[in-house]
Amino acid sequence: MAEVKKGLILRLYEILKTVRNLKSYTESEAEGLLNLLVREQEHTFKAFFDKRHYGAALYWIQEVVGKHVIEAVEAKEKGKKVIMIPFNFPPEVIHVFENAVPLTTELVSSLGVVGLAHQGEPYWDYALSLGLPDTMCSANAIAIASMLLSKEAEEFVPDLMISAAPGSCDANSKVHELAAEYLGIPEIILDKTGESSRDFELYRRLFRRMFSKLEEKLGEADEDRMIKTLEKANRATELYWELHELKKHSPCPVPNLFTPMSYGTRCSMWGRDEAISIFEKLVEVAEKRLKRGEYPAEEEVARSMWVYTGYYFDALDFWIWLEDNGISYLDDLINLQALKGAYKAETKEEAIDAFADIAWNMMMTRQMGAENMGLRWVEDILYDINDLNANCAIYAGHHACKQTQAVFRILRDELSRRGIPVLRLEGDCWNRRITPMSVLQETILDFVKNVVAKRKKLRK
Amino acid sequence: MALEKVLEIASSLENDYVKEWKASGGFVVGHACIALPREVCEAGRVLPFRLRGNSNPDTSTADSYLSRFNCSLCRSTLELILRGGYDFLDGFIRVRGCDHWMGTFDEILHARKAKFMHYFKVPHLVNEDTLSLFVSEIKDLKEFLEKKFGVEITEDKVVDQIKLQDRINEKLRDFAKKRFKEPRFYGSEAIALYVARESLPSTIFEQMLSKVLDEGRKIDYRARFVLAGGPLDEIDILRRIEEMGALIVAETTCYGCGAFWNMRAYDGGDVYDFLAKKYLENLKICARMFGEYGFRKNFVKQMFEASEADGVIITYNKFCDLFGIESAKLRMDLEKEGIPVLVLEKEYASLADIGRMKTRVQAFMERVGR
Repeated sequence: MAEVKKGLILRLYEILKTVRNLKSYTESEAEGLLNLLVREQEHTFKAFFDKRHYGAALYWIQEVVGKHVIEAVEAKEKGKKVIMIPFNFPPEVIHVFENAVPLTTELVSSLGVVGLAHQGEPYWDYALSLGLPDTMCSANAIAIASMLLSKEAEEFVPDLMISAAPGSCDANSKVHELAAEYLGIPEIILDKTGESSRDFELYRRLFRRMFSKLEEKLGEADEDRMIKTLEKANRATELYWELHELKKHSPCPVPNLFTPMSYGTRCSMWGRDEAISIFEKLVEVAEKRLKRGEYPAEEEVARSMWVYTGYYFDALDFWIWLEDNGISYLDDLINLQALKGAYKAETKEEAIDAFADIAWNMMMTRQMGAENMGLRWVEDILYDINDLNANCAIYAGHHACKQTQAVFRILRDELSRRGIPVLRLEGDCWNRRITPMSVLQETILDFVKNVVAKRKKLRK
Repeated sequence: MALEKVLEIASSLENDYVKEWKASGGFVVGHACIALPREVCEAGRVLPFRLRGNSNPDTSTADSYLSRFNCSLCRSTLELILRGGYDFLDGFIRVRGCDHWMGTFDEILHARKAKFMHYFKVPHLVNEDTLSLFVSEIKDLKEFLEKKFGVEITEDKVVDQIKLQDRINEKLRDFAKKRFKEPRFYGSEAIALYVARESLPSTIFEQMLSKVLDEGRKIDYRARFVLAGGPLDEIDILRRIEEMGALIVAETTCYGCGAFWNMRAYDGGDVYDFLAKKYLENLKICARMFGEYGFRKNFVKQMFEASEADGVIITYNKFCDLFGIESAKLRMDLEKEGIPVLVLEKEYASLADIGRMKTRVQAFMERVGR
């Protein structure tokens, strides 16, 4: 087991504080910095420093996710509370409270995996040493395990947890419950039972109960701030769709890395100015690339739709590598959000209901919390495939994702019936020990060369 | 012998009583969770038959629908459905259990193996809002069954069925107590009895249960254990473990005392409000219910103390996040209170795994000094 004397969040905090202080830099300064890093960090920074992003990726680390983690760790000294939320819960609900900040479990895991020496491995190993099963989901288990470590090492612990996954992910819900029990942190739980108006009514009531409990802990939410938060979320949504529109061009002018950056923003800074700023930058960069006809490969061979999520343990050899090989990562289910568009609210009550509806339609909750997970998944992914004119679909096959694993056959059959080639990978998206990136690359290249490219030629 | 008949029923799918039920105009629906109020179904001559893997370890066809990362109980059951083992069913009630079962029901539909599938929603929380939804779900179920099968489900009939289930639960508690201090049944026999309950018309089961109660005899053993964790109906595997002297004297599982021990009895009042409380509150025994860990831990402790057991064996099928994750905390908490615990992750009905499991149990018996 690698070093576990300090928690993932606190280690990330130190790195992100340093990165936030980076201002303009020369190439040789950047090169010098890279030499100081271990290989996994070097890959991350090379990916994020890449010129194709025109500084937007670095800005994202500094002003979006960096701030997200730093604000959480520094919250206590500023008299604020930290609310741990899963990625399928809208952080803007927490941003309406002046004295609280959210911290998103899966985002923290992902940042730990791309930003730290040994990635999330020490924390994963620690979880297993406590007797937790190796089949749980690394997306949340890495961050949660690090918090469990706080009983015997230095690590950050939130003040309250919200669980939004009952009904859409057992693994997510259970590991959050475990952390709450183990650490004695209060937990507020939502529940999605189905898709009818009656189910929504239950969800809305539970959401309102949750909001009342938050107000008990954090003080009454300000109506004006709530409405403004919603308006800012709406503005970010508009920009999200502008970026989405740009993805329709071929070759795709939106760099692959912008997709995870998009949902990294969604589950951290939504409802705040930072989300608007970063999306303005992403759109600006994509427009610039479109104008200049920039694309890193000679040809865009594959316009791939990743039907659930991508791989996070090597940013350079995954996101950048795909693009350098003519494989555009157009979108994935985690990024397919805000399908219901803008929300209007003039009163506090209307704002709470709007937030409940947003939460109900968040990624994963919407699809895997459906009455028929397979059919809702097919419906949403087909919309995205058609809208972005994708010519292939790839399933990362994250092995802990039991719901999607259970109904992938339904998706595959439907896509195949419509002539969309589908590749099924197998691995752990947050853990490099399971399927190495070299194997994933080889499989993806085989698929693209032998299936996607050939079909493309035939169509021509 | 009634016990022999019980074992036969628990080891097969469609049994003679189900055939007779159908021949006399009754209907049979498949479901997969104890959250389904059988009173409503049986009041309409609809027999709820609980889907199980029937100790079938072959999942080759089902694996092409579900995946190797899904629960082997679900894959085993799906395999039987795909092969026609459940063709005697008139349809399915999709009771919302866990992610694996939800996916299994999606795949049953995808493979076109369902004549119909009614979705019966089960909240993951117990509070006044979720109970209110659950009442509506039970009423919807009643209306669905009435419409689908052209039957009338009156409140009087439902109350009769509630009283029948209350009698059965009381007898099952008596049966369970006969296993506590001076065990008169093997755990594998008890599990078979609980499986039979889920595979028979309740009037037949009540008669059979009364006869079984008289068939107890002195059982030899080395150590006594409480079985906790996920659903376990693998009678063969349990029998082989018990042959080593590791006797199961109580369970908190849903194919065990968990199905009836905490079930409230009818004391008047609105029938549907009662059923909602009865079934949703009882479901706290399952790790799919959130915010109820304390209830489950206390239930295990209660059964451990009542049965004067030597330890607790927690089992779950690989890839079960609900019981897999919870078992880590449960083990820690029980051990802190001086209760020895063995956690056994397993693949459903895999006899290839039995050697490993027996070794672990043997080590556990030695650990508790037996």
